[in-house]
Amino acid sequence: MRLLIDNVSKTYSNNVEALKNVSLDIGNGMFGLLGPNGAGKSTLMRTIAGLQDADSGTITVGGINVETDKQALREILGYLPQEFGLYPKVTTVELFDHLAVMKGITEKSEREKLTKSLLAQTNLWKYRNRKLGTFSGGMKQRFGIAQALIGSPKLIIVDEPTAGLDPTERNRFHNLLSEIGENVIVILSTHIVEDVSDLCSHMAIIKDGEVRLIGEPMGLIEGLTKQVWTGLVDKKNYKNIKNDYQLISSKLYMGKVQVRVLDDRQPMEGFEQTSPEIEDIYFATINELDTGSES
Amino acid sequence: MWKHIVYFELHQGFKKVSIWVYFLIFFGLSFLIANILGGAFTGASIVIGNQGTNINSPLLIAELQTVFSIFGVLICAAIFGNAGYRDYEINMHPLFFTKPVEPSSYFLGRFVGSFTLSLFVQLGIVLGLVIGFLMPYLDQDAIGAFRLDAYLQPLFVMVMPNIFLVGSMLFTLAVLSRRMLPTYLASVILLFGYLTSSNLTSDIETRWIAALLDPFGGEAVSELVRYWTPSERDNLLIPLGKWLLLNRIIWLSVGAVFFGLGLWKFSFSHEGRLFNRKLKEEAEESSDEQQEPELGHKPIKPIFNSTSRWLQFITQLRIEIKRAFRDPYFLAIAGTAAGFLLLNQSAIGKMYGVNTLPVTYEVLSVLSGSFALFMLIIITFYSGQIIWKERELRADQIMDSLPVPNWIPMISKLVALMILPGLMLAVLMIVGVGIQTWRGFFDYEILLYIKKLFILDWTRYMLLCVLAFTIQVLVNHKYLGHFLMILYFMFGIFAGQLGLNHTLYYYGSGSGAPYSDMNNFAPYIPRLISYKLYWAFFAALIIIISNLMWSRGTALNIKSRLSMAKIRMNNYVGYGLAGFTVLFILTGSYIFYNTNILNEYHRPKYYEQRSADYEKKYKKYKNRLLPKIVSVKGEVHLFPTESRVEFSGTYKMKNKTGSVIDTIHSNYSANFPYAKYDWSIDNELAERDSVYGWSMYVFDPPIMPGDEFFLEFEGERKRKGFSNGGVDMTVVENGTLIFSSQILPTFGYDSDRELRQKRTRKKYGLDEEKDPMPAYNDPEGLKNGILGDDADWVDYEMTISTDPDQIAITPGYLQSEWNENGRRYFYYKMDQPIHNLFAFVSGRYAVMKERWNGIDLEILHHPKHIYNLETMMNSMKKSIEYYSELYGPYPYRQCRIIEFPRYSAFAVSFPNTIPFSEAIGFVMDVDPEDPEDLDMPFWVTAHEMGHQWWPHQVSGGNVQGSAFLSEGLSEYSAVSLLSKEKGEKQLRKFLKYELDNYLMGRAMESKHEPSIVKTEGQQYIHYNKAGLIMYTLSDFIGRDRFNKALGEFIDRFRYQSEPYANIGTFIETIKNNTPENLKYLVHDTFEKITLYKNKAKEASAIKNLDGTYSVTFTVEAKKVYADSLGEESPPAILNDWLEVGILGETEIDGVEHEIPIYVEKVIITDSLSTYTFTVDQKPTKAGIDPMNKFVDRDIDDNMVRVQIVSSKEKES
Repeated sequence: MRLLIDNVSKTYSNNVEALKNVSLDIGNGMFGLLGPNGAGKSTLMRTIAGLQDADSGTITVGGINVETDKQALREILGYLPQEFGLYPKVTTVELFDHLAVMKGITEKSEREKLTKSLLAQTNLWKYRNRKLGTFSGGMKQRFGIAQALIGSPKLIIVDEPTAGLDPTERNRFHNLLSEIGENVIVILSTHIVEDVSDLCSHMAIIKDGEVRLIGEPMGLIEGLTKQVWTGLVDKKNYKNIKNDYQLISSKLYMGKVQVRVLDDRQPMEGFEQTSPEIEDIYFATINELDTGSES
Repeated sequence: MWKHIVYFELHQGFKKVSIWVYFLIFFGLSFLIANILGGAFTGASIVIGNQGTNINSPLLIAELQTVFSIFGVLICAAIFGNAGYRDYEINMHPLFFTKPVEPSSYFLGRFVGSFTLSLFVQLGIVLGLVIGFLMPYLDQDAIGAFRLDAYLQPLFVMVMPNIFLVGSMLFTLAVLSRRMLPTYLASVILLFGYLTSSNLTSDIETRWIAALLDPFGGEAVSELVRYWTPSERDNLLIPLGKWLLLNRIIWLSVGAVFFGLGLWKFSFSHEGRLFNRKLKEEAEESSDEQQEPELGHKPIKPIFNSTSRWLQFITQLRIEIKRAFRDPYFLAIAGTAAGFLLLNQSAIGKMYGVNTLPVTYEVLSVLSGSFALFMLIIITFYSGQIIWKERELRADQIMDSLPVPNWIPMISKLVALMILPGLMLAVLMIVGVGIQTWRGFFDYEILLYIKKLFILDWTRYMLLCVLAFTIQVLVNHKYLGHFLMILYFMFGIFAGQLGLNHTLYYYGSGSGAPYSDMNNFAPYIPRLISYKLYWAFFAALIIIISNLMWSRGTALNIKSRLSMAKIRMNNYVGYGLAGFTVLFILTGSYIFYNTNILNEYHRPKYYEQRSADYEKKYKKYKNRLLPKIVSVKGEVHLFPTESRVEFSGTYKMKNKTGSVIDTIHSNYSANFPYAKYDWSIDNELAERDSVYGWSMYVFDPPIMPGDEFFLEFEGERKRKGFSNGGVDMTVVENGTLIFSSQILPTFGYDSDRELRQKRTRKKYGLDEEKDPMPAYNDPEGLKNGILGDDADWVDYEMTISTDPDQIAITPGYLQSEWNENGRRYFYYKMDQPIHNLFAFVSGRYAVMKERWNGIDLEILHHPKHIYNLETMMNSMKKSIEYYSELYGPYPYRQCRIIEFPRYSAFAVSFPNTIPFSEAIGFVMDVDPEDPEDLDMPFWVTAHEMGHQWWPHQVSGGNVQGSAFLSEGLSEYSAVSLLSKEKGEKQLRKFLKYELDNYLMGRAMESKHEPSIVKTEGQQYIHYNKAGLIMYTLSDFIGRDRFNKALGEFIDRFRYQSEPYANIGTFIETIKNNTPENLKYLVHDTFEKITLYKNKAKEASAIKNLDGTYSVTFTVEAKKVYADSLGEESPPAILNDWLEVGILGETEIDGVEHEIPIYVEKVIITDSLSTYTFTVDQKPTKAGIDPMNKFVDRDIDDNMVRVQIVSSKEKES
């Protein structure tokens, strides 16, 4: 099954162009969608999930047009929105069971089994009789993940799934996703680069509503081999570097600035070559650096 | 700092569309009201207050502003609640609270900002009214000069305090609780106070409570202007009297307390302080961790078929209903409503402060009537709640992406919404049965409960649910949705005024049906079914449209929703839409056929135009001489199950005038022309006007004085379907009451068809005033009786037939009774002349019969209504006994009271025959032990019995003052009997009501208040004023002397016509029996509008050594005369007899009762007089006119509390 996004554009009523001619071809497996805040990730996710329609362009999932055949789409969809609430006065099991019914799990015994297994996998089983109103952010997030997996969806869209999870839970989530992610399409949006490097076989980076980069993480990293340099500079020199070189990223380190620079040669004395990471690709892309690979 | 917050708040506020929408709606509504008042639309201008006063009178402006401030609660809730709650809702509060802002500045800033915004919205009213009244096309005579203060005063006195009260309550609750619930609860409680207070106004004794209890102050204003005359209404600002000031102080204090509490308790902490439930850390995290199921995810294949759809629907429905019961808002309203019901039971059917029995329909009408508003609130409010739930919780994206079709969430929500009112009605039923049980009334009519609550009301509420739901779906804005619902309700109120009074276009119309124990809802059933179906089909249509427009997903706007709707549209939906449209149109056509083709439908304006044209066209024939009917003989055949009556008969007529008559103008019903209308003498139909039902017969040779001839007629009346206004109730299944004037031929111009209201008359180019009746001594007027110029006294015999299980009655004595062709026949004949007005009654009656002193007394009643029969029977006897003594013997051998359904609430007296409505008297709950409990069945019967003398023996002419001779003297007869039988205590209460009704009546007089000699049928005068003032007159002149005068008068005029009796002669007769020093009182009573302004100044008492008390008190007396508009003269010179007295307290059955312990008639000449009396009992109050015998607009100040000083203190 393939998810085909063809030339999709969306402009909100406040004239924000959230998506500009986005085209993607996504197959089974995990697909990471990276991008800074406001890049249009969530808009794209919601559009794929059929929650809002694009102004132009089409999206099809295994032949289903998401705009005109929403019911068929929803029957194969698992969706975790970026931000959501839950009915505060209902217990975990109650709501989960209800959602399972709505997702077409009509057999009561099956539902019970499913509830047990998914709640256990998200480490919520022990809270099953708690009212959802008392959940912490992380617990809520896990519930959201669990519900997205009900009914063995063929298309799973998870928008910022790891936000608010502690490292243990994140790990658990990664395991869970990778387990199911092979035979279905999983689209994962995040701004945490590691999520992508840990999980995804394919990725795209979008910024300002445009797809800036598509590819496989491994290949992309390879493309930058021997081009990333790192070094410690003081703040005065930092300015020069910023102006004269292709600065990927910088962070403060012991009063100085540690910079990563994209260059074919050693940009300055004291800089060392380092192995590229997805993060470098991400920053290089959104900072619109010339990686040489695209030309 | 806080100013900056105010600025920010205002800036934000004015950027919101909703504020402007509210403003515009308020502006629009008030502009509309101004236009309606000014007669811009149809003639039937709305009546707010008194129709005779200026439409922009300060009082009216104040009342409108107050009413809108009540509607404004909803807007305040949105504005203040939002200002208080917003930051918590969107979790902004940590940001704000960490800023260097004083909590008090934040609180104050937001509050002032919201206050200003609310005030701005309310200013829409002021602006709408000001501009509305400026419109040049309005009736300028009705508009007084523009007065800025008339708008400003209510703004400061009513509107701003109300906003402050509502705002501080809501805002404080919102910021302290950080939840919307308490906010909502508070507004419900305010509304509750308002509703409860309006329920207390029917009883004089509790009115002051109402004045204080109404949080919005409207009742306090009403209390103060209760007796305001037209001139006061036009000229004065609302008075800042005691009740209003107290009310404002109380409610401003309540507001201030909340405001203070908010300011004091509000702080920038993360956790809410007030009402903040600790999130229970449910430590008992399910202990079976060991049994944690193994991981592993076996794919389960989801099933999507019709079975799973159904399961999904049921599950969703269950969760929606459950949620409603967990919803604090719903519980809050429902709880308040239940509390309201319990409180309200005290208001069950009171008349003159007397309870009716808690029979099921009475309980139902009180409970479900007052409950309706709560229902509307619940439906309006909860429809928004239930639709916005997911979005407010931000669970919408998850829910919207579930693989269920739209109809599952939508229909389950709608059905849940519809079930709620059903549950509330079930609660109502339980409360109703509870009330009945508590009052010791065990005849529960469960079937009636079910019919009324679940078949009539629930379906109506379901329709309302669909509408509210659809509006919420379509406009997709919660508060705007609420507001649109209010507009819909407003439309219901104003539609008629806008000329849009056809029931076909008011959604949910046609749901009402009058109930009677005698008939159930029978006459209305076809109408009910038609309308219910019609609206049900419409509801189905809009449900489908809601389904198409159902909001699912994010970032929706009109365009995207429409394109979604286009995608959702498919064949099935198309068939549904088409099918229901066809059904809707079919039922609509059927209704239209009934209302507009079988029956006549016209806009209100048409009827005005028609009356005006009638007057213009035919008034010229007004005083044409007519021959008179001298005998009526005929047959009336009633077919109750077919709602049909056939009749035929013969009038014997005679030219009693001294002139030759060549033309007779005959009236007939344009819808039911007579099948036969044959004169026994040569005639020619010169003109026939089928619009007005007017025929002009010319006689050649003409009718000479003294000529006798006959008119034979035949006709039929039949119910034809149903009309826009209701159902023709001329003949009903059980308990038909037809007046002869409804069906038998009448002659000549009917001035009752003329327009009455000054402004309306002017609009149609008629003289502003209708011609007055002739003065009491007008010789021409005295040639005709008050009951019409068709006849004087006539001979009467009638055969009347009906269904075999019914009894048919008409005045006269039953000569024979037989069965023929499966019908039951009665032949009645009266053996002495009577007025030419008869009743035809038929019903399935039980009969209570008694022969007493040679008179057959009968009460024909609905078999179940046995509660007050003894009292009525007793009253008949006592009346006959007492009146015979006063006025001469009862003229008949029989007297019958006949019950008729409660479609109208009156009793009416025909010779030996008294139709008496089910609604009054038959279901009264009089406590014989309670001396203050007015015995209404006794009293009403006594009044009607009085009519057997007045006017059935002595009738006034067709002149001013004659209504007094029949109604006023019957009322006096009843009052007099009441005081004889029931004592002073009951009388005092009764007179208080008479006074109150009179003063209110004159306040609502839209033309001129006449003195008694000039009355032309003003009820507040010939009933209420007469009852009070005649009693007083008899009391001062001396009961015996007064009654002797009445006896003289009746002897002189018994059965006299040409000339008929008149009030002038009556007054003469009274004067002749009045001592010289009281003649002024007769004059003041009949020829003037006399008002006393009596007041007690101070009172003290010394306890004497022998245990008695010497009471000294000072009173002020003042008398003024009012003109017909209520303008009062300077105080008149006093030389008047009045009463002074002392009240004490006695314990009766453990309850303290105030009773007069000393009353003395005194002559007062000075405005201030001091009296000292010694009494045996401990005095509590002393003053002037303790029994309220004189007309006085403020009787509360008549008595003052007595200060008791011990004798020793006095000595030292």
